Amino acid sequence: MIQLKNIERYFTNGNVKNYILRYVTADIKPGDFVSIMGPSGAGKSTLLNIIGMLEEPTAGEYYFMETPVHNLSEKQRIALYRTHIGFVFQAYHLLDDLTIYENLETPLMYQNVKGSERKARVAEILDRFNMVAKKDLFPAQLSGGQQQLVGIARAIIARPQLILADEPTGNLQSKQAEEIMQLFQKLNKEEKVTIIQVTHSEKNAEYGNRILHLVDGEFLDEK
Amino acid sequence: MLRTQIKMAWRNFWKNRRYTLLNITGLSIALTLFLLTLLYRNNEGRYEHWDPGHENVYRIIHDESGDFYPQTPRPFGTVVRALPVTQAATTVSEYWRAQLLITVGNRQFYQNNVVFSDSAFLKVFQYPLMYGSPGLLDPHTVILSRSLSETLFGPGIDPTGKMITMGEFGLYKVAAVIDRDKYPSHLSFSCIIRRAYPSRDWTSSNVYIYVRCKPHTKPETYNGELDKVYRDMAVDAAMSDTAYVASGQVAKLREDVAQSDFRFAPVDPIHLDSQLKFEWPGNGTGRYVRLLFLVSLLILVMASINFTNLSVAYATRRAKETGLRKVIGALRIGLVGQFLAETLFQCLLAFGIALVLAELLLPVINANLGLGLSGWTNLEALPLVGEVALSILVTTLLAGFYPALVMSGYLPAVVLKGNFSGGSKGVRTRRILLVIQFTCASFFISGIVIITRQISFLKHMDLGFQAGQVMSIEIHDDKTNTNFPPIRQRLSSIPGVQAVSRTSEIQGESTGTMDYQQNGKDIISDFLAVDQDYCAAMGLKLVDGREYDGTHPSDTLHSLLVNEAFARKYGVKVGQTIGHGVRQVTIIGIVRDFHIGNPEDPIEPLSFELLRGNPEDYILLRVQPAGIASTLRNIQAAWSDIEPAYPIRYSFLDEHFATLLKAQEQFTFLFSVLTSLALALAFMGVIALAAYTAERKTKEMSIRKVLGASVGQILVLMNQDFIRWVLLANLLAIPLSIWLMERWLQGFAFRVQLGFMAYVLSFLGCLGATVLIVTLQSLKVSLSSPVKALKYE
Repeated sequence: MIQLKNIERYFTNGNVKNYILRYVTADIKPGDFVSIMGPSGAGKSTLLNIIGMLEEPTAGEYYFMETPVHNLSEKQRIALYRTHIGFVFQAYHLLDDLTIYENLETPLMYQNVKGSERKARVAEILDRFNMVAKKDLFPAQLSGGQQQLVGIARAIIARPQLILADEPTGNLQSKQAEEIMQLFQKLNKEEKVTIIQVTHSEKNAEYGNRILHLVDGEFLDEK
Repeated sequence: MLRTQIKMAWRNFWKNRRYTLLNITGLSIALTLFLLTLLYRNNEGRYEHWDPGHENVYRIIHDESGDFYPQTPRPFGTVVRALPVTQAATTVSEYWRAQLLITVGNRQFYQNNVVFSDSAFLKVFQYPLMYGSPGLLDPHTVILSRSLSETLFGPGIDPTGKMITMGEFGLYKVAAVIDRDKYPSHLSFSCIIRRAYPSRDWTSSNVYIYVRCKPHTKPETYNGELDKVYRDMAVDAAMSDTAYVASGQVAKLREDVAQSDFRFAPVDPIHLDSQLKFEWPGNGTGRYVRLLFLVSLLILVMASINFTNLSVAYATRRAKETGLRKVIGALRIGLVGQFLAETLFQCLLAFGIALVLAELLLPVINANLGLGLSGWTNLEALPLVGEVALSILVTTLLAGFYPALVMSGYLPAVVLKGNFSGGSKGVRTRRILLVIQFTCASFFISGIVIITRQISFLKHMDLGFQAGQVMSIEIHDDKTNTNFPPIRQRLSSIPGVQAVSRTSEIQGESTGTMDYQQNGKDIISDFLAVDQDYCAAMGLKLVDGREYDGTHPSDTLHSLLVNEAFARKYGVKVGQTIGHGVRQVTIIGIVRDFHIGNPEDPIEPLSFELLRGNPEDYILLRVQPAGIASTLRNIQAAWSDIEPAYPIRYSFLDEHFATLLKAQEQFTFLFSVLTSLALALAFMGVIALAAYTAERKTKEMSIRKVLGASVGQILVLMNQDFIRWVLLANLLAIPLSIWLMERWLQGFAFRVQLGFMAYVLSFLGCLGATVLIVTLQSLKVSLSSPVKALKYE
């Protein structure tokens, strides 16, 4: 599903190139549940962003579902990730001025899904996550764990093939974190959603089937 | 403590310099306008007030058929002088021609605003003199205005004692020089010629009589006395005219004078409030002063609104600072004081800039509006200092109080915990303020469009005669009039000249008024004294009958030409007869209405007297368009024989007519300036708010991008809010503008219709500019990579 070949990303500081990622190569198959681990500043989030087409590598090739992403224009990339990829952020990043219902609706509106179908899908997700009673509340009125649930619900409502999660449980208590990870596992096993997560926690990493260690911008050999 | 506060104020200024600079610019612009208006208002209020006894100076006015006129018969002067309240009285009149030829050595200048007076002029108008000494004026002396003195002799030169030739009146000695800019008065003059004019004509009111009364007297109590004297003297003078007595008009005269009403009118309010016919030029400016003051206040308010808006918007940046300060011990009132001090700092800065700007702009303003304002370097401006200080203080409070309240209100617990992204405090207020600004901007745009259309309409109006082909030449030598037929012959024979005539006044000058009698009732009309072939020379159409053509001897005493307005108002037809003093006159023709006065006034009844009533001041020539250059050359050559002492002064009536619109053009200029200011302020407000909104919504926009929004969709979202307010503002502005503009247009006898173009333009203009501004500000956000905003700090 995803092939990375010698992905490179650097920032220039004056005349000096600061490499965040260098010679990153990986092959991720559909249905994988991958955990990317590594020390702080290793470039994990940057890599996730590149996979998610939110950032461009400065060199290297990236094939997403056989399509060479590195050759696409911005518009084409938006079209691609909009339909196939869902994001979950550590800080949830919900739209504060919209209700939960509206937050969930927004990705569907950007995909031009019709009103009645939107209603149906939002209702289905709310039900699945047991959040029906909360649909008219605002994010500020929910606890952290609930907000993250909404974040995940938003990520999967568009039925993506791939979910990218950047430390999804970083702001949560251990019990809530566990619930989230079990949800991910369920999504991966039952609905065959490929998941790539960035995490610090060994415990979280064990929910997946692969662990990639990113150290100084390179993947170490897998175990 | 003060030093720290100043340091803090400066650092905050520097940190937020983009928005602070916008704020200060907006305030300086508004303050500059306000300062200029104050200068103007101060200047206009100074007229006559430099004279310590100014409240004692009066003018005699009289009432005729319901209107007041500022003139009286010439012999009245002696009467007024004899009254017990009078300390001094002087009789002033205008030179009857437009310009006088002044000769100094071998240089010649044509000068307008030439005024005659008697010996007591300086006793009534006690000007501090630049050169010369006060007192009674000797015969054959002249007082010069400073600008005329500088034109004739150069600046800094004392011309007293020098001899100059005043046109046909001969040599005059310069007795004094008056600085009219420093001591402005409603009586505008370039020179005062001391000339004796004994007269016993009690029937024409053609002079201005000014009286300096003794202090603490009530001249108004003598109003009745004035009437009584007039009645007696007028009848006496009539009785000694045997022809008049013989015509049996005496009884009628007694009736007329019984109703006469002469009064003392104080001179002080003339400059600002006088709307009298035959008033000295340049007066009646009071309404403009008041209007301008209101508008500049409005603009200052707009700028303060901008200031408030922005300050509140950026208040959230300081939220953390406020929370912290409170934690370490600050009281709310102390914080309010701190923020107000920062506002004061910005206001003072803006004011300083405004002072400089106002001073720099004065020459431009003076040139375009024909004013003589002197700036802050002038001592006369001192009384304004208080007004200005007050306005700074009020502006500071107005603009700074609400933001100070908002900024000092943040609670530490809320602000210091986690991710405070700033509340939506004051969003509603900001929106209201923005709508107010847009309303003003929209109103100004539609206003300037309508005003420009109206002035353009006036400029290109059909005047009723062929102005482009009529040339007027000023007559300066009396001999031209006493022996005109050979001159007429000479001019007619020039190829290209199609008709020759004369007239007493041309467009824009005040005509005289004449009384006629119809069925025993008095009728009054404006009149022109014209020569034969007037209609031919002007290219006027006759609706009925004929004009004076030099072939009917009865024309001399028994014919009258009138215009359509006269015929309509008094229901006369060709062949009918009306009374004219001791004579009867027959209407020989009716002329199609044409514009003789101000383009904005309706066309009044006008009669044309054949060479009587007023002296002929102009020769009119109708010339062929083809070969005009050579025709002109021939005319100029002929003129040097006709009036060798007076170089030719001519103009084409269409050029002349355009100068009548000067007041309107000045008004347009002023309104355009104000419009630009209002627009600048409104759009500055939008820019700042759009920048702020874009910054605040960065995170939201990034999330939406992640969720799949395209750049276009982001921009639409950012614009939506602003567009809504532009719409609302226009809806508010349109009725207001319609009401005000309709009222303004009604003051014109000839006007355009309102139309909707102006409103479409103002709406589209506001909308287009807003969308452009918001899009530009949001572009950075909408194009940038979403991850930048979503990094977790």
